[in-house]
Amino acid sequence: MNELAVAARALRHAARVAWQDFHAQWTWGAWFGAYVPRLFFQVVYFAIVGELLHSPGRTVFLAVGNSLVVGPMITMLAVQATVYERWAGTVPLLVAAPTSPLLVFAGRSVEWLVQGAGTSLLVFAVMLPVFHVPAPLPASLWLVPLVLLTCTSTYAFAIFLGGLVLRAPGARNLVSTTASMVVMTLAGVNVPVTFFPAPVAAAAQLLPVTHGLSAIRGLLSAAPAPEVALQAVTEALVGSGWLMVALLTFQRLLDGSRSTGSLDLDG
Amino acid sequence: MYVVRTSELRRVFVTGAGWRRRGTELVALDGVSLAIEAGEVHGLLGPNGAGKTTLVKILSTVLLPTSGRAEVCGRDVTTDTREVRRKIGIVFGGDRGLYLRLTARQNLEYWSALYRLTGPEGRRRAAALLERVGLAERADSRVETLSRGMRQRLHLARGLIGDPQVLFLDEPTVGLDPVAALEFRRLVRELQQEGRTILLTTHDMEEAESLCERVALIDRGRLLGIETPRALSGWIAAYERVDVAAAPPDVLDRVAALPGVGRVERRPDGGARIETVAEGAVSEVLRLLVGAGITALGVTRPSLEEVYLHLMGGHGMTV
Amino acid sequence: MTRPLRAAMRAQLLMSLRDPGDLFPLVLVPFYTVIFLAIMRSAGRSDLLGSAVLAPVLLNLWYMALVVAGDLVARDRFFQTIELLVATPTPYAVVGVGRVLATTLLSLVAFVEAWLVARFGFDYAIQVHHSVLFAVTLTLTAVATVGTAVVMAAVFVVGRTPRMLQNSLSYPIYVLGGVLTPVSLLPWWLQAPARLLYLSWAADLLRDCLQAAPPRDVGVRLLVIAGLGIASLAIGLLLTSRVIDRLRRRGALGLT
Repeated sequence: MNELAVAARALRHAARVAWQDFHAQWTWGAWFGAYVPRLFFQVVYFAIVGELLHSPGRTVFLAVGNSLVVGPMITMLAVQATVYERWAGTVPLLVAAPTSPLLVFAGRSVEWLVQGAGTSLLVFAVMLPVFHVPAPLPASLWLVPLVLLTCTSTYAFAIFLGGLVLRAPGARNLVSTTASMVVMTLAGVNVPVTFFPAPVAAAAQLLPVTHGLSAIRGLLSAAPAPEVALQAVTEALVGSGWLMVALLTFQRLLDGSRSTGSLDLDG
Repeated sequence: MYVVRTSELRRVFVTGAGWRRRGTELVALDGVSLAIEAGEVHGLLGPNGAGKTTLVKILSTVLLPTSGRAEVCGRDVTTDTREVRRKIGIVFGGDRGLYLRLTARQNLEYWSALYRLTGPEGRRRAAALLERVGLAERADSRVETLSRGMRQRLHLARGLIGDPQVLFLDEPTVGLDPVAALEFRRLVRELQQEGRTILLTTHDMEEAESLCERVALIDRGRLLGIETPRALSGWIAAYERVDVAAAPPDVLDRVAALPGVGRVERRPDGGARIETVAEGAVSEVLRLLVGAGITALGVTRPSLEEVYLHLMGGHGMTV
Repeated sequence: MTRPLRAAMRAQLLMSLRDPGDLFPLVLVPFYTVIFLAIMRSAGRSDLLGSAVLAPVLLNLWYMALVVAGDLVARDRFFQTIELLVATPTPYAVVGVGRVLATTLLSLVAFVEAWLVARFGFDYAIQVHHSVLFAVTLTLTAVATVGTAVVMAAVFVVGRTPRMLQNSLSYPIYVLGGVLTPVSLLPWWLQAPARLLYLSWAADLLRDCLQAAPPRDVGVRLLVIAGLGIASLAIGLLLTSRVIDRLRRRGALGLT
């Protein structure tokens, strides 16, 4: 089989495991009955500040930002999945297998990417009308690929973090939640990135979500297409960048562990 | 004077019941009537799943019976729960029931408060108990750093913190190494000498034999009978086995013909397992084998399950 | 009854301090503080900065109570101490209240965090104009939180509630509790349930304490918070006792 086919097959199988993982933790009833409503309330919690400030513009700003960030927040749970692999004791087996372990890890958590993007779109669908955010069709349909793009670049970031957490599984919750909060704070979700001091704003440019959100804001405010496209491309570049870093980190990590023998620890 | 008394105690568990499913019923105790005298060490012997733990849980008010009655110190366990709880102590087997991140002392002082001791009393008693179970030096170590044997001892100390009149020891030596188990037994004897009433559940016949004045036999939720330790040791002796590495067939024939030999299971490699069914039979078997020049042999004691199997077959049960 | 209560508090405090996982929500507080302060400052509303500092404290108070409530029985089952606890002369509910109380007190550390972030990140020092009332209200709020947490603990035991499902009671309560914005901004049909929640009354009153003008109807509002708190504590104690009895009947005390 050629490399690509091998990779695709590995990914598919890993994804199947991921799907089962999700179902081990969640039922559809619990997800839609309890968790999704909590997400609606999360958007309301922030967007309603716009009402407090008597600023419809701010309401829209907060509603859009928080509706999007739901997706990356869920996607970030992928960080935890690498730890499940370790708990399953499969890490040394993966290292020994001919397929790149990164592929398996990537596939393992892809469930969260899908959940994240899908849920974010659902939240958008409900919250945009609730907060009177103009969303003219058919232009607004570009929301779908943009949300998917943002979640994918977040996913790359999450894979990178997952690799770091492999060595310290106890920290997985801390890392994934802190990363979510950093994005929520700095990526232009609740206040423009420019609010923060220059060094912080500069660092924010390297975060996933920053540019994707910018593109989405542009889309919904009918900004010129090239502007929106530019932000989208930048988001894609940021995502690719994190994927590269993830690849490098994983390789070094696994190589390093092979020589120190620290890879095998389960649990 | 009976300190613990049960009458037709029955407990049924329903498992697997769901929204529209009835679930299956499991009868854990089936009409158990038992009476334990003050100051007695009473054993409850049975294989896993016999209902020993269920009985202990009911007596310690942690589980409600389905029907029947149980009294501890004259108080009904279902209606006078508070009173009963004041007078009992529980020790489970294994190393559970402790907060790992607290120290041994902190654990005991915490439990002392729950048993309504005042601060100074609690501290005093905790210190005394730690001394008694040999953990005084590790009093301020976190439980997570203690070995299993130490945790078990701490668990015993915890069971004693309320200065209980009645102590329920549920398989307390399970998982302990032989030295630790012996030490534990010594402590139990001390406790008995202090006048406490003890119900000890176990599946170890030797333990039951060495500690208890009377032993109730239980299997599948039913009380089979009450025996003395002597009867137990008689069974142990009766159902011993001799394993031979290699013996000529004619020797084995002679062994099979000996009185008190139940079965000779021959193996293709020339070895055999000889099962006895009477006390004293083993020594005859050994005499014969050694006389025939066979020295590669071993004697093993029967497990409780094996003894029960024999007894169910009707060989000398007194019910 | 106070010695067992204090012992339970002490045990919980010791365990939480030795288990970083318990204190994890405190990590989120600085982030929330930055977000809320940033929103208000970027809108030029310095009068709302106080609310922005208060909000993460209330948010954390609720969240940590929610988590400990969910973990209460689960933790005792994990350590296999639940049956031993039930077998003591002290009612299990007392142990529960003690543990929740300890967590609630610990959660107030968020105040220090929020204050520091405001002071050094935003050059804003929060001013409490009515400090006595503030302290009294905060105390009553903490007590009411304990009461509500005990109710939640009892409810969580009966259902099997993994952490994520429990998590679903976070933002809905932050909104209905008026943690950041007053509930008067909510649509009318949400205001009624919001008013049943002690948090909405507490948040309003605490915010009023940050204003120079003397808060109105103080007596009534304190009474409502106290009343809701006592009522939930009473319900919680009753429920817990019922739940434990039910578990004893079903033989499900020790099951995970």
